Amino acid sequence: MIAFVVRRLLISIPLLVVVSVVVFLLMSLTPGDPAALMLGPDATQESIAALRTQMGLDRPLAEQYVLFLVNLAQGDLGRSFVTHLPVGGELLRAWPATFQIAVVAMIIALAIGLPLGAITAIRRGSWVDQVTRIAVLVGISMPIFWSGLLLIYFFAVQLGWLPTSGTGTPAHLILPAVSLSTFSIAVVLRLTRSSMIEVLQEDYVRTARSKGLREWVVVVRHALMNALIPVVTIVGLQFGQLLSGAAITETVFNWPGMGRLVVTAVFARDYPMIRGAILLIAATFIIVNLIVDVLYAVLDPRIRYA
Amino acid sequence: MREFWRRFSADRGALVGLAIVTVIVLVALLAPLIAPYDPTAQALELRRAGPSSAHPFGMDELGRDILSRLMYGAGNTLTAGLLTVSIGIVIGVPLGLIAGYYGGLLEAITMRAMDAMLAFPAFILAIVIVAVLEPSLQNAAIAIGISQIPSFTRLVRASTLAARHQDYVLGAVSVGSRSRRIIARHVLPNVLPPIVVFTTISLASSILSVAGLSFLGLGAQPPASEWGLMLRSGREYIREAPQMTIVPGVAIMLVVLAFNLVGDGLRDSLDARLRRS
Repeated sequence: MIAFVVRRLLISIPLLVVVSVVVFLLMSLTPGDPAALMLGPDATQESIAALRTQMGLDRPLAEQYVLFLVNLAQGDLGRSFVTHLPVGGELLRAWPATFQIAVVAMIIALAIGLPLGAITAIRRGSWVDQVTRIAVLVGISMPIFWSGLLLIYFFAVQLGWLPTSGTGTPAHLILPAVSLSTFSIAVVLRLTRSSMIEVLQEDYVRTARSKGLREWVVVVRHALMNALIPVVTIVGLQFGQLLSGAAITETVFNWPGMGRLVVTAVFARDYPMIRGAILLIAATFIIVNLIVDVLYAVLDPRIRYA
Repeated sequence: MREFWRRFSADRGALVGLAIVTVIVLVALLAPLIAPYDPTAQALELRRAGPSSAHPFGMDELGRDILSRLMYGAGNTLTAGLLTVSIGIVIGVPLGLIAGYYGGLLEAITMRAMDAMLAFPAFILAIVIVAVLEPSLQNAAIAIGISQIPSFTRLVRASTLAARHQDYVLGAVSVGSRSRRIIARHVLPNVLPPIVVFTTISLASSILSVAGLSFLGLGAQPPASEWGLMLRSGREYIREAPQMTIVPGVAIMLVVLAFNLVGDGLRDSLDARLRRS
């Protein structure tokens, strides 16, 4: 088990390095001089040149990358072009907000997707299955910015039950998390259903039935537990989907997280902020997938020895 | 082919999807002829007016007819979607074929590069690419297209690997056919069905993503008629003029739903390996 975790960790490190190279190059190839952007339109040629030297922009690209890595290792991601505050601090303030709605959305997706997926697999072809199939198709076809706006319209504007946007109370969390979860509910449900249908045809389920075990014991202990194994992998990938969706959901609901930070930074051409945010999002995604893979190995011993 | 059509047309959902796609394509092509108004003409006295017999979907914040903007927007949405998947296909498919057929170092480099791209959540990657390219509908489509390359590459590589070890390919290798000929004549026809299915489903998700970028202001720019952009301005007036939000949202959902239905139908009738349970 430890060998598996170590091996998996070792794969993640080169991935993080490649990610840092990609992010670095993307931002270096961007048209426009960061020093000029940072100083604004009134800056003189001399002050721009001085700042370029200070920022190390006059050195070769490889040297700049090494400098970037050294600073990164010290937690220094540079300063925002807009607020002139350290990027690291701003990211640390925004990250928990995004992580919070992503986790709540994931919990909602699992709480609805798993049981409904299992039920529709057991009652295959029934009206529940038919209705759910349509709902799933609608769920994956609905733009999350639109479902977010509709939720605001009905629950905040029309009924006045929940706040339209912002943060502060748990009530503020409900609409963004629900809107963010729609796509993931559909994906989790679909996969649980197909995985469950497959498992229900396995010999060990038939054996359990023929032993005279009660139906719910067969379904939950023997079938569902095995059906969950492939669902676990999708949770990691869906987390990436949630981080992506957060960019839109956070904008719709004025939620002060990473997604909105990236979008605002793109408009302001705030490159240090974009670079830092992207790195943090990619790192979060890689680490979540690492944890999911380890969890997968715990659940299914076959993976560890493969 | 007849066998394929028999199976496809037995799927009611797929037929509904195909019908919706056909209607939307026709609307997109005929928009200049059938749209009741100029999509940019403003009737200021009718700003944010609700639905009426003259304007069945109401007016937007500048007094433009929403139905006409919707019709013109169909073309933008479809071309952006097509541009997106073309990028995925043109770059992703050859990479997948080469990686899967030749293997070795070439495969290792290609697949690690794809892994690195997949380390970014796709939509976030697209946002960054737009940031580098400048926001526009075309660049939004290019950005989403680039972020889809890894999915195409992985799919094609997996199918190529499977075909590579089939007897007919091994046979072609043993009689000394050239690799390029084998790939074109024997491997490609076999990886085509999953590509077709995946392209249809990608078209659905691309349309969603491009509209999402426009909604954020990173895609189509005003005064273009584009559904995501229409939702962006609708958001400001959700209290006074909910039709500005509801109408383009339904349109996006319908077209995405239609491509998903067609994709599901194609999967069931075209590709035995991907068949859903």
